[in-house]
Amino acid sequence: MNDFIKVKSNLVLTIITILFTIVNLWLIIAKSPLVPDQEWAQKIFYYHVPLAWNFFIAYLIAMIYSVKYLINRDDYSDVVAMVWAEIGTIFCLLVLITGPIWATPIWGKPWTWEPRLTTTLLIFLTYIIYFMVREFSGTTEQGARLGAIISILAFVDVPIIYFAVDMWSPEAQAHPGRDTVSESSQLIQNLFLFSLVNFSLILINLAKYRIFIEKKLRNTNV
Amino acid sequence: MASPLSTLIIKELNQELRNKDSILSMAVFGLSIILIFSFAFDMSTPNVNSILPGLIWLTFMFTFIIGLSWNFTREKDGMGISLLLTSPIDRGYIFLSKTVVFTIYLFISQLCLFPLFYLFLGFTAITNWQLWALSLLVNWGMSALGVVISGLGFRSKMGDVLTALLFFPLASPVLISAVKSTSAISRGIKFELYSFWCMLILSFAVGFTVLGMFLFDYIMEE
Repeated sequence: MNDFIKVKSNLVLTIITILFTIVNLWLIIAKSPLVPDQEWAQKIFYYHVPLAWNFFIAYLIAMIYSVKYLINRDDYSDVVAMVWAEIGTIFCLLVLITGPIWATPIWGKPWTWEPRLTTTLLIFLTYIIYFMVREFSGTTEQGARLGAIISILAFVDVPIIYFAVDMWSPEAQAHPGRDTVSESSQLIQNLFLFSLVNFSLILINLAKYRIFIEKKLRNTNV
Repeated sequence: MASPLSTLIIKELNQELRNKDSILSMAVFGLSIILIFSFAFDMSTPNVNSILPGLIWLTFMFTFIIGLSWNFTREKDGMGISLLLTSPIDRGYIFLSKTVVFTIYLFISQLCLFPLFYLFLGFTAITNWQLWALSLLVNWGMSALGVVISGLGFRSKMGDVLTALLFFPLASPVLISAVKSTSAISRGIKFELYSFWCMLILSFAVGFTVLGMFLFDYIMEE
């Protein structure tokens, strides 16, 4: 960590991220209004939805760098693709944890097999297999190549997760629609936007730090 | 002069005609699954029609995996794929030929198994031409994805385990759409009302075919 924050831009980004995270937590607890019927359970959405947006972005970047790796075969593209896949999977796991925290008081149970939950679990499973393939492949090069292919295939699931609430009939749905935020009050929209920026900063910071470590581990000049 | 694609398709079909092992193993395995389902579930209940489409497509998915892994194992043991890969043929053609033959194999196994679904489980929609058209579409989607994933398994140390692990999560959008469409067909619903699901399968089939043609070259690298 010391070496990472020795670089001035990394130090600035880390400090900004920490400040944003503290302010975001304070805003969610102290300033966000309580939504009727949902009360405190709704506040988890300031974490849940930004996490979901950011895991989409992380997987998108992982997919782009996987294509780049297959074309150029450069170690840097492999490192970036793997790191974004890792962080995307952590965010995806957090989405799968924060979802049931909200669902338990609202639905009366932590999990239902509704489309968006199921497709999110599927992409999480696919990325677990991605890491298994990387780990258990014969050579690093083979693991990177096969992993890149899985990352490209898995990304097909992302638009399905995003549009799941529109694709399935309302009877099959339990998830709030895509326009829930835009239909909320201005204060909720502003707080949500702040939280989104906060989680994007966390995502970028984690990715930069992980790339920094991975480069060191591989001991290359990428 | 025959095109490389038609030559490869004829080679695959000739190989199957000589041994008949892929289709036979698929059909026999499918029969076993149908028997297990008819024991495992109470088929006399009135709501059996709501679970039949799911059972049908699960059966075809299992039989497909069996046929696919057998085909690649045979290629591996006989060094067939290694010789093919050293020949001056675009690897995209190898992918396409396998996709076409597996669409046909699956359709043949469906010709054998759909009457058994009627006989043992009372699935009456087998006389509807829309079901057969749907089957061809689903077969195309499953085959395109299955051949890509089998290629991954072929090159990975994880082998058939990887094929089974990856196929089910990634094929689930096709499975869900197939089940929804079959359910609509068996209830005599108009095509316009379930055309969305067919379009989703078509998009997947086209998407995985294009991805497969692009990726197969990278998958099959030593």
